[in-house]
Formats: sequence, structure tokens, C-alpha cells
Amino acid sequence: MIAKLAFKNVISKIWRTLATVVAVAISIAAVFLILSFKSAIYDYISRNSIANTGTEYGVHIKYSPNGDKTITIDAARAHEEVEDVSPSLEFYWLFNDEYVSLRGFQEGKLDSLNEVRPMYGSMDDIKNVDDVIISYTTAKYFNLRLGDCFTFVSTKNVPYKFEVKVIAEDEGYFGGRGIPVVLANVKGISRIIIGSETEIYNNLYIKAKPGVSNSDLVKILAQDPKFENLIVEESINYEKIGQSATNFSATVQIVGVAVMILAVFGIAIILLLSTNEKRDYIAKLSIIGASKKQIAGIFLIELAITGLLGVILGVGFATGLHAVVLFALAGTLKTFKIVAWKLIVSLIVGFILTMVFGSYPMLKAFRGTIRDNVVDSGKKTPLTYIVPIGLAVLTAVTFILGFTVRPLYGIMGILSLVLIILLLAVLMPIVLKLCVKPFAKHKDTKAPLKLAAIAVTRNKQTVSAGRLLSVGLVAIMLMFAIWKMTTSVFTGYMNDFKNIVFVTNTTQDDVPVLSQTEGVDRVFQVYWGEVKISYNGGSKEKGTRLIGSKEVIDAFDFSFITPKEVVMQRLDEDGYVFIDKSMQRLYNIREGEEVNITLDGKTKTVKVGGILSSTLFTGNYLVMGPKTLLDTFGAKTNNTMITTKSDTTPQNVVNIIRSKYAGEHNYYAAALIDMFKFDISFLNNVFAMIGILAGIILIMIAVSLSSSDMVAHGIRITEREMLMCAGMSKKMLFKSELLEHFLVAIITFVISVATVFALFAALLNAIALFGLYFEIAWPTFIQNLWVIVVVGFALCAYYALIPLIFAYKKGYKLRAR
Amino acid sequence: MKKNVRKIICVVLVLSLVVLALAMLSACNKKQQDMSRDTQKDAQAREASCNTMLNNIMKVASKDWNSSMTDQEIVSLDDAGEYVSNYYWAKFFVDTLNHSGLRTMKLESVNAFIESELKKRDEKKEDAVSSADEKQEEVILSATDFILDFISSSGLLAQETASMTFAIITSLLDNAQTVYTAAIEKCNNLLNPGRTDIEVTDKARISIQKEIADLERSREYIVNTFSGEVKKELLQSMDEGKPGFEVLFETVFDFGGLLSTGQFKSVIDGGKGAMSNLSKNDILNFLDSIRIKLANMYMYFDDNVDDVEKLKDTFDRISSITNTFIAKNKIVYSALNMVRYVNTIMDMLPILTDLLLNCWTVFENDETFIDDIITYFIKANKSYEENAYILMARAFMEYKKNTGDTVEESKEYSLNFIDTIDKNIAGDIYSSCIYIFLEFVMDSGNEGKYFDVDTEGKTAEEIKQAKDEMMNKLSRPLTAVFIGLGGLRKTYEKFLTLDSVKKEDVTYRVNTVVDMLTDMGIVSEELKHIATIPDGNTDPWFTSVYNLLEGIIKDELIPQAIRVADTCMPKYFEEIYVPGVLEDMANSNWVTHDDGEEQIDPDRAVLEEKVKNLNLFKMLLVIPVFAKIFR
Repeated sequence: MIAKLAFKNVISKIWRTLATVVAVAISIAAVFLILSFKSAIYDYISRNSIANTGTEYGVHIKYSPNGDKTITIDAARAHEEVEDVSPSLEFYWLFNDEYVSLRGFQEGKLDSLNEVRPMYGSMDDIKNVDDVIISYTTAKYFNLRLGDCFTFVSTKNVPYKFEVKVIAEDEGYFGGRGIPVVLANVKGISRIIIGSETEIYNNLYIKAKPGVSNSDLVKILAQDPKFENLIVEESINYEKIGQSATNFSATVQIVGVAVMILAVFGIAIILLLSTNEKRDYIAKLSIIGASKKQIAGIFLIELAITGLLGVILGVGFATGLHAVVLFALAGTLKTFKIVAWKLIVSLIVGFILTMVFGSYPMLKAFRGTIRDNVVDSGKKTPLTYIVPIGLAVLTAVTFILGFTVRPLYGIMGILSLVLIILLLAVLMPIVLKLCVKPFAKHKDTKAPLKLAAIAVTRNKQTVSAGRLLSVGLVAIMLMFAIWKMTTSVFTGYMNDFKNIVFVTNTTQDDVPVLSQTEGVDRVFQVYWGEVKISYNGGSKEKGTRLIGSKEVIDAFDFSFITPKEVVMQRLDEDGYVFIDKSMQRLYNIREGEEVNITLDGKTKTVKVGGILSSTLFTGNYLVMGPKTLLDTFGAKTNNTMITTKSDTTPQNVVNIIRSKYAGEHNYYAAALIDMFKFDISFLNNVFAMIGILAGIILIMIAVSLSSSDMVAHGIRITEREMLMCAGMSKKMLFKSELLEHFLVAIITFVISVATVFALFAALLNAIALFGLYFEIAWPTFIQNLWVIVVVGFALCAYYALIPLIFAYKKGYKLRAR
Repeated sequence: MKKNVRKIICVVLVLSLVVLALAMLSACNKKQQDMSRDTQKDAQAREASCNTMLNNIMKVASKDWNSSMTDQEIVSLDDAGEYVSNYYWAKFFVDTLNHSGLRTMKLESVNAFIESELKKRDEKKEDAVSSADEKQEEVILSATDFILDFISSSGLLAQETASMTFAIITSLLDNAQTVYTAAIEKCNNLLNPGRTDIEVTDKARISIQKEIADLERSREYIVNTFSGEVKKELLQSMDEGKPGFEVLFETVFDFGGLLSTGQFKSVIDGGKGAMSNLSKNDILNFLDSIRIKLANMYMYFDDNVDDVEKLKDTFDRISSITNTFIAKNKIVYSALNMVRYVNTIMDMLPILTDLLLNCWTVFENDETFIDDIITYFIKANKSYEENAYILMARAFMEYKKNTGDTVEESKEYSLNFIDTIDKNIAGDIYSSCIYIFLEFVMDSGNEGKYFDVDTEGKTAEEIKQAKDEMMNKLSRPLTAVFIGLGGLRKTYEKFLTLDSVKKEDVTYRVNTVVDMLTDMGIVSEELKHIATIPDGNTDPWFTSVYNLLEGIIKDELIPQAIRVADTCMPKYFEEIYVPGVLEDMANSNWVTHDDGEEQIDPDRAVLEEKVKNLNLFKMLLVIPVFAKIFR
């Protein structure tokens, strides 16, 4: 009987039930998307490393720009800790004016590191040393099919042809991003660089014996004199991957807090909207003699049905939308990973919230009498005043602390962000009432507006809608703000690369040669690589990029915290490194402080010679003079950087270099921006993912708003009937309802836009928790403010137009009783 | 109806997210592009490649020719006969490649190579026209240059080049007669009086008739030497020797690529690019890779003695049969030359490989050896050649240590090596082994010291005079062979392949050789009369003169040179293998370059004195010399 009644309730208000189910499902999906975001980024980044090295061969010995370029296998095999060695020859070469990554392995061992899943052809077709395997994407990119060939022209102008024998899925070796990979026999590709099928190697991938850890094997091999001039490292740098994933997802994770608050609000508001109605229903049930147990049974079954339906739909939304986000990231999607615990947590959270907020009317009804439940007294408790004031004070304190106490930047940032949103939700009804009161009170106010204003001041459903809208607005505006900001921060500096040509495999002797190239402005040698810096007396360590050159100071847009003349002087001296202002701010590294730099496996102590400021690599860089580079680290500049004249393009200069020196030199010349082409594409994918996430959340908020508004609209049917009985026309009633939405939308919009500034400031402090500081965050925010405002406005406009969109007017009628 | 509007909108909105997710998911799995092999396109590409190749080969032979000339167009050519002959040989070449299993993309590579050669030829011709001094130079490359360029520039795998060479030689043995027959039939058909559809010009008629005669002669030769059981046996033994041939040629062609593309040098002397700034370890790694390759080949030779012997025997037989055959066509000429080279290489390579492999441990045991090698090569233009001898002495010491050879054994080994060279000289006088021989015995610094002369009762002056005479006896015939006949031979080859040599050139070459022979006292009636070129058709004259001169040199001068060399060799080795000499050399101080004013470096003076006695080390220079073999 109880269950029957519960089912009847669910079915009799089917649209309300569905709206609630959707709201629950959306909240579940939102929580899941936020929880899964970082791991999605992590998986995406790690795919690249795994594609390069696989997972079995955990140690990688590779050539060093300043050491040996070739490696023999025997020395590695001689170690008893080594289970197996897979050698390879890898280099970039031009095909159709584009670089491809040639990876040569021993005969029959092309798939030794990673899997190859043939789509066309089979591994048994690989018979000649010039048979190659490419991925489906590469084949499509170069418009190749089985039997077609790559022609690689050697520096001696000999054209070597390689036949495509297998086209494989974009998995395994081909699962990474970046330059297209061509998998070949080492003998085949050796010919390109030495004109002979002699096997030479520049990489060793080593599998440790069971019981030997990769890190231990790295230590053992690094001590072998045979490898002293090579780089010995773990194949996959999980630390670096984690750092990158953190960098790209930090802002989303923080905004995710706002989204999660929104998810809670989404479920809470839609379930609390009908509190009075439910109390009324409980009163009726009590009158006809239903016990509390029976009433609880009816409500709990009803909630469980709603919750379970929400969970079921939530699973669909969560997985489907997660797949959409991943597709935006990777471009292709064969399979995708769902982390079970994250989905389960999301589902449990959604279900529990449904049960908790759904039970609230029942619990409240049980506390009061039948009269209390039928007639809402609307009494105000002291908490009505204490909560907003206390919250406001707490918010102000945390906000100020976030700017003043350095170690507390991050934690205060995140706290103030949460508190600001909660404060907004708490204050929004008050603000709404205050703002519309003049309209409600003023005698000359036209009837529809007056009616709308009165509804805003008195109607709980309308106030709740304002609350939901405000939280949704700030969440979505923050989401779009970080989308635009991260895009600018992580790729904006690449604008500086636009007139630069980068030539690798060069020495100082090449500078005069390359200077003769037409269209060249400045030519200088540079070291361009990755290093580790440890600071605070060696207690903390961080990977960063090193630019070893003095001339680079004028090639990029640097400003100087330390006077320029001091910096320039120290760049000529030995023992100095220069850091960015962001590093100074985040890690408290000071000018003159001693830091340890690890370059090509050599760790040396140098002094911080000065503080620079630049958007380059979001401030994650070091600059070092050639003297320090050579004298302290024994490293030579192995690349040439060329700035081009304004009357030409970098590509023109690249073409000249490639054609002019093709026969004599094996320069790897490319426009610097092109060298980052795949990084940019990767970052754009990540940012597209944030954008897609923002878009999805926008739709979610819209759906959530629609659901709750329709529920509220349904609840207010009696109110409308009364007005119509009093002689109000349908047109006026509709106008009034529309105006009510407009009033809420406009006021919420203004307040939310103002709040977003404070939230953004809190967010910038909060990302310090992830070791990030973006110098250009505010300029970017201001620059993209219009996008944020437009998105907010669109959502408000949507909310305002809900009565029109859902044709509320059509449902205005007097029910027969 | 109106009631449902809100519901419909509601459903649409609710489902929008689901639809969005599904739409994106389906986009993820959109239909893939078909990338399977297009066999029809492949077949068309192969046919097109073969046609292009045929056309290109014809263009290489003459810029006025192409592969699709009609009969009327052919009989309008002044050299119609040669066109027919070349066409059938070109077709033979293309058909052989087509059926050899060479992949289509590699046929395209061969085409690209031929086209680049054509371009080169045109450019050279233009240069020759613009430069009066070079007018005499013929543009067409020699067959060996062609082969070397092919190895280094076509981008074919060594194994493919080896298979291709083997296929051509085998096919030549098998089908030469068919090709000659087809060409003869075509010529006869063109001259058929019954044909009214074509009008043969007089020049074309003469050319075709001449070609028929040549073709008949060649066919007759082939029928007499390569038919029946002989041919069957040869083909069978070729088949048996195939694995050995391919292993050998793969290695040789691969090294050919390494040496001739200049990559080896760029690795050693710090070349640019991917192999730039190489460290000592890198060069050692690189050399070690080469060692492994050599060792593999050596092991093959060691493990498959019977196969190698069979192959050697086959090539010996082909060489001896074709020795008197005048290969007028370039393809035939190249293929037969290849057989001769195989003979030479098969004799020399195992010995040299053994030598190199036994020297190799010097890199491990002599710490500064690689540094000195790098120093020597990088500063090659500034280094003294004597330093190379020091390096060789150090390597040779390692050889001695590894083999444990006594002085006598080393001497015997060296003499065996010389015997091998002798044998090749006897087999093919134009083999580049002459270079080694000349290097060996004609060093001016020796002043005839190794010649045995009767010293009894003679003054020092008289002994010196006698030795000088001996030296003359040796050097003049070799000069005649190398310079005189070498030049004449080249001219004759051009004459055979192009028939476009200038009369002045022929006169000059013939006179040079005749003068040399006359100077040496070889006077005959025939020699007296041949220096004047008769008017009219010079072909029979030049052929007979060439055969005459070649005969005299082969019969009289080469044996004389070998005889003289034989007398001095033992003495030479006696001196070289005196214990301590090598050690002394190996321990000599490195000569450094003096950038200041010219002055005699005392170290260098001492070293020069030692080097005079150590010409054996020049033998170790055979590696660069072998590069010359192909040139």
C-alpha cells in the first residue's frame, strides 16, 4: 500500500519527477567530470611517454647533446640486473617538407617496446629493411596507403624510399601526440645518415630483472663509465607528467569546487522547492491517520525511486559527457577509461544528497504540528541574521589573508573562494528582496511589475531560483574565465616565436655560415633544454626549461626586476643563473641565493644572478650565460636561433636553409613556432577540453535551472489560479511571470559579475597550492571579460526567457475542483 | 495539442544532453578511410615504370632516341642499327628487372637515377660546349662509374643491388642469344625489300647492315661458348653460388655506399648534421658496427667454403670464356666487368678482412690509437703522411700479436697476397690491382735497391747504373700498360660503345703507345705502319690496331714486369720483416705540424727515413685503393 502510494506520487507528478531526476543526474555528472578531469589530462600526457617507451623497458639511455651520440648494446647487457635491452636509432627527417620521427629497431623487433595493432597489412609483411609501419592518422595526414612510399633524401642527396607495409591503429607507439612516427628497421634508416645499412644506435631501452627497480637500475647504469657521456634515466618520468597534469588542471580543479557547490545546490533547491507542498501533503496524510513510519515509508520510497532514476541517468550522463570531453582532448576515441571509484563516489553523493534534501520537508513536517505544516508561519530565527554576517566576516578575513600571508596564499585562496560562493548564495535572496522592494512598495508601479516584485520578495521558489542562478552564473563565468586565461597563459607567449627560426645540430662555427642566409636578422647560438633546479638549500626540486644564451634576452620580451646592465654583465660571467619573477614569488628564491642545477646528469651549484620577468613558458624557465654553461657544466650551445627580418617569413628562411645547406649539412631547421606545433596542438586540445567542460556545465546549469523553474512553476499553480479568479488576464499574468524572471536575472547578473572579480582573485591565490603563478592572469581576465560577461548574460537571458521558451502561458487555466 | 508544447520542449531539452553525448560518441567512431593496397594502381605504376625506364635508357644512349619510335622513324636515323641493338638490350635489362622481383618503388628509384644521369649528361654537355678546353671530353660515364654512382645514388638496398646484379648476369647467360637473335630479326625486318611501308635512308641501311654483322658475330660467339651443356652447367653453378654471391655483394655494395657517398669520411672527420660533433666513443661505436659487418661476412666465407669455391669457379669460367669477347653493348660490358670484379674481390676480400679483423683490437688495446686516428683524419690536410705509417705499424703490431705469426709466416702471408695480385693481373690486365702493384714496386725512394744485379767487380756507380736499368725495365712497361694502354683502352671503349670518338684522339692514343713500345725496343713491321689512320671507315683499322697493341703488351710487357717484380719481392720482404723494424716504427713519435716558417722537423726527418724502408704499409692503404677499383 505504502509502495503503491509512493509510486502513484511519482507517476502523478511525472514531469516534476523527471525534472528532479535530471537535476540529480546532472549533478552526478558534474561531480564526476570534475573528479575525472585531472586524471584525463594525466592519461593524455602519459600516453605520449608510454607511446615512446612502452612500460616494460623502464630505463632509457639516450644520446646527449653534449656527450656521445651513439650507444653500443653490449655494455648494458653486461650488467646482471638487466633482463633485456632494446636498442634503437631515432631521429627526425623531412618528408614533404614536414618533419617525421624515424624510429629504427632491430630486425623483427619493431614492436619490442610497444604494441602495434595493424589495421591494414600484417607484421609478417615486414620483410625488407625499408618496410615501414605508420599510424592511421599519419597515413591520412600524408595521404598514404599500403604500398605507397616515403622518400627521405639524405644530406648527400640520395633518395631513400621506404614502403608502407603496415598501417596501424593510433595506439601503442602511435598513441602519443607530436611529430608523426615512422617505425622502421634500423638498417634501413641508418642509410639516411651514414649511407650504409650498418646498425648504429642512439637509444637503449632496458628492462630490469624481476626484483630490480627502475630507479636502482638507473643508478647502477649511470655509474658505468661506458654511459658517462650519455643520459641515463627512467623511461617514463611520472613526476613530470604529474606536474604537467597539475599545471593544466589546477584551475579547473579549483573552479571544480564551485561546480560541486553548484551540484549540491542543484539537487537541494529542486528538492526543497516543494517543501511547503510536501508538508501540506504530510498534514493531509496525518489527518487521515497515517503514522510517521508510514509517511516516512512513502517519502523514502519516492525519494529512492527518484534517486535511483537519477543515478541511472547520471551514469549515462557522466560516462557520455566524459567521453565527449576526452574526444575533445584526443580527437579520436576508441576506448576510454572510467575510474570506477570516481563514478561510484559521484553516484553515492548524488543519491545521498537526494535522500538528505528530499527528506528535509518530511523531517520538518514531523517536527511541527498539522497546523504548522498547513500554514507556514515564515518566522525568522536569529540564524537568519547570524549566518550571513558571520559568513561575510569569515569571507573577508580569509580573502585578506590570502593576499597578505605568503605561506597561506593557496589555502586562504581556496577557502575564500568557497566562502564567497556560499556568501553569495546566502545573501542573494536578501539582495533580491532589497532590490525589488521599491517596485513592490511604489504605488505607481504598473500591475505586472508590482506583482513580479512582490513575488520576488515573498515567493520562496523565486528566491531559490535566484540563489541557484547566482551560483551557476559565477561557476560558469569562472569556468570561461579560466578557459580563456589558461589558453593565453600557456600558449600566448608563443607569439614571441613567430619571427624566429630554430636550427639544431649546429656549432658556433655555423653562426657565420647561417648569417649569410637571406632574410636573416640576428643569428646566435643557444642551449635549449630541460634541467632541474633545487632550491631552499636543496630541500625542494623542480623541473624547468633552460635557455643558454645572452642574446636571447633581446630576442624575447623580457623585463628586468634586477637592473638590465647587471643581468647582462653577469651573463658574461661564470656561475650565474637567472630566474623568472614567478619563481621568486612561488618559491621565495632570491637574487644571490645559491641553487643547484642538474644539466645532462651533472649537478652544480650556481648563484641566482637576477630576476627577470617574461611570459615565456609561463615563467617556468632559467636563463644562463654561455660561460656558465661551458665552464660550469661543460655544455656547449648546440642550436642556432635566428630572428628574421620583417620583409620575410620564418618559413622562407627555413626553406632557404634547407635547400642551401641540404647537401653539406644536416641542419634540423624549422620555424620555432612550427617546432611547438604539436605542443600547441596538445595544449589546444587540453584547452578545448576545458572549453567543452565549460560548455557542458553551461548546458547543465541551463537544464538545472529549467528543471527547478518548472517545478517551482508547477508548485505555484494555486497562486496563479487565485490571481486569475481575481480577474487577472492571462496576458498580464504571463507578463508578470516574465518580469519576475527578468528582475531575478538582471539583479543576479550584476551581483554575480561583481563577485566573479573577487572569485578570480581568490582563484589566483588558490593555484599557488599547485605551485603556479600567472603573471598575466589579470590582464588576460580583463581582456576576455567580454566573453565572461556574454556567457553570464546568455545564461541570465535564458533564465529570463524560460516562461516564454516553455510556453507557460499555455498552461494558465482554472482547474475544475 | 497546446498542452503538449511544453512537454515536447521539455523532452527536447532533457534529451539534448543525451543527444549531444551520443552525437559526439558517434563522431569518435566515424567511418575510416580505406587504406588498403590498390593492386590495380600498383600494376599500372609498375608497367609505367618499366616503360619509362626503357625510354630513359634509350635516351641515355642517344638524345635522339626514344623507346617508342616507329619503324619509319628508326630507318630515318643515321644510326638505325645501333638503335635496334640498344633497344633490345635495354628491353632485356628492363624485363630482367621487372621479373627480378624488384619492387615498383625501386624501379622508380632506378628511373630517377637514370634521369639524374641524363640531366648530369646534359649539364656536362652544356659545360663542354661553353669550355673550349673540355671539348675533347666525352660526356658519357664509364660503366664502372655508372655502377658506382648507381650503388651510391639510387637508394637501393645493398641486397637489392646484389640481387639485381645477380639477376642480370644470370639472365645474360641465359638469354643473350635470344636478345641477339631478336635484334638481328628486327634489323632484317627493317631491311626486308618486301616492306613498302617504310623508306630506309642510305645511312640507316649501312648502319643496320653493320649492326647485323656485329650482332651475328656476337651471337655466333655466344652459341659457340654458352650454349648447350656449358650454359646449363654455368646456370646451375650460378644458382648454387647465389647465396654466397649475395652475401658478398651485399657487403661490398653496402661498403661502396658508405665510402662513395662520403659519409664515412664525414663521420671520421667530424661531419655536420646527425653525425656531427661525434665523440671518440661514437667513432669507436661506428667502427665497431663496421667490424661486426665484416666479421659476419668473414664468418660466412669461413662457414661456406664450398659454396664460395663453387661461385669462384663459376666466375672464373665466365671470365675465361668472355675474355676474348668484345662486349659492344654497355649493359653486357658492365655485367661482364662485374664478373671480373667479383673474381678480384673474392680473392682479396677474405685476406683483407682477416687482416682488418686481426688489427681491430688495436682500438681496445692502444688507448691513444683512436685519438691519433681522429687527429690524423681531421687534420688530414695538415698532417704528415708519415703519421699514417705510424698508425699502420701500430695496427700491424696488433695483427702480429693476434695471429702470433712469426716473421717468416708474415713474410709468407705477404707473398701469398702478392701471388693473388699476380694471378689477377694475369687474368685481367686492367684490373685495378695494378695500382697496388705500382705503389708497391715503383716507389722512387727505393732507387732500385731491391733489384738483384751482379755486383761482382763493379763499382758503386756501375751497380747503381745496373739497378737503374732494372728499374727502367720494370717501370717503362708498367707505364706503357698503365698510362699508354689505359688511355687507349678508354678510347677504344668509347669507340665501341659510342662510335663517336674523334680521329685526333685515336691518333694521339695509338701514337703514344707505339712510341712507348718503340722506345722499349719493341719494333715490328706492323707497328711501323699503324700510326696513320686510313681514310673512310676506320672501324676495322682501329679494332685490329687495338688488338695488336693489346697483344704485344699482354704477351711481352706484363710477364716482363712480373718477372722483374718477382726477383725483387723476396729481397724486399727480407728487409721489411727484420725484427724490430715494425716495433720501431710503431713507437715513433707523432709528427706534429709546425705552423711557423718552413723548417725541417727533426722527428719527421727520422720518420721519413724509416718510411722509405716500409713500403709494405702502403699495402695497408688498400682500403682507399679499393675504392678506386670501382672508379
